[in-house]
Amino acid sequence: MMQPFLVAIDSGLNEAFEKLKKALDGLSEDELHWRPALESNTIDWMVWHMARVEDNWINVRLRDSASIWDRDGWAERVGVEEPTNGFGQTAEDIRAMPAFDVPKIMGYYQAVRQGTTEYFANEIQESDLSIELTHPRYDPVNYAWVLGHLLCEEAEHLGQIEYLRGMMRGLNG
Amino acid sequence: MKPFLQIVDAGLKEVFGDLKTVLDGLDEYELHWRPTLESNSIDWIVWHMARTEDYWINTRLCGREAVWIEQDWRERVGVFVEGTGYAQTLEQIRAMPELDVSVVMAYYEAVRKRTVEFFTYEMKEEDLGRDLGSMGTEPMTYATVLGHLLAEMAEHLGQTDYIRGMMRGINK
Repeated sequence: MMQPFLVAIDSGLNEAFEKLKKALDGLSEDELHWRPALESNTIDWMVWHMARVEDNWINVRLRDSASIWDRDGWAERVGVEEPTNGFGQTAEDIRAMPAFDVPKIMGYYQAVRQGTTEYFANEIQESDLSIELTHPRYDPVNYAWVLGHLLCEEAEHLGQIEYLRGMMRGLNG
Repeated sequence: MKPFLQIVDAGLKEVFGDLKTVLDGLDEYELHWRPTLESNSIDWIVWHMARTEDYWINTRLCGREAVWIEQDWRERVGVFVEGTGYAQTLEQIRAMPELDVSVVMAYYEAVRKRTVEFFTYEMKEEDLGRDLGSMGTEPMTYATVLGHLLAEMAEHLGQTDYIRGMMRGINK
């Protein structure tokens, strides 16, 4: 059974992932790659970015190990050689990326989610929450902040994808 | 803060702080702009976010009156619709009076204060597993409500951020 302090974050991340699958359901390649303004992100790029973000926070930052992306050769499987998680990419960098195969990226995301669930079930302890870590973009942060931030960041992009779907298909479309 | 609440507390604070950054310098037209006929505008989303946190924390978890009612925010914001905005139709949203976002943000700030008080003084770790029925097909407890609340708030924050990006371009 999940330790009580983890249930909220675990169920929030699961909920966001399930809603993402729903938001993607039935979208065509054109819809996945549409941008409403020249500098707006597309759905397919965001799905890749979301998966990379969870992988980095959980595996690289909190578990201090290799990302699942690197460990299991996902760059090759997905056909994306970009070394970052997408943060700080310019509009030109993003345009230069190859077309995304969203089902394959969702396969990678599923593997990341499974890794997070295992980390929650078997590794992290309540006393870890106050461990501090340094990060180039933030003041010293602790594990609790990282977990709250992770759900925040994932759900922000989920909300953007839902909004884009609404722009293309209308309310409840 | 009690360790079991630190994660959600930090996340909700981050949402509120980031929202202030997104709203900074937007004019009334930008706050009320919608990219398509059926898309939500930023001002409505901000009101809905504040109402949503108030509903889950006060109405559902604490079982008391919402800050919206208790502190007369209906009068101050000038909005008397029932509910949080969830499931409102387009016609209902269009029929709402103009929202003054600075007043709505003052209401949101009052809601945030109550949530922090609830986390600091009232909620106990054994509450996490308390049964609240179900949400869709999933069992609902205090813990799942807190995870859901943070996800929902951040989804809407992301939407306001995206709309700003459509209007102004990246990081402007």
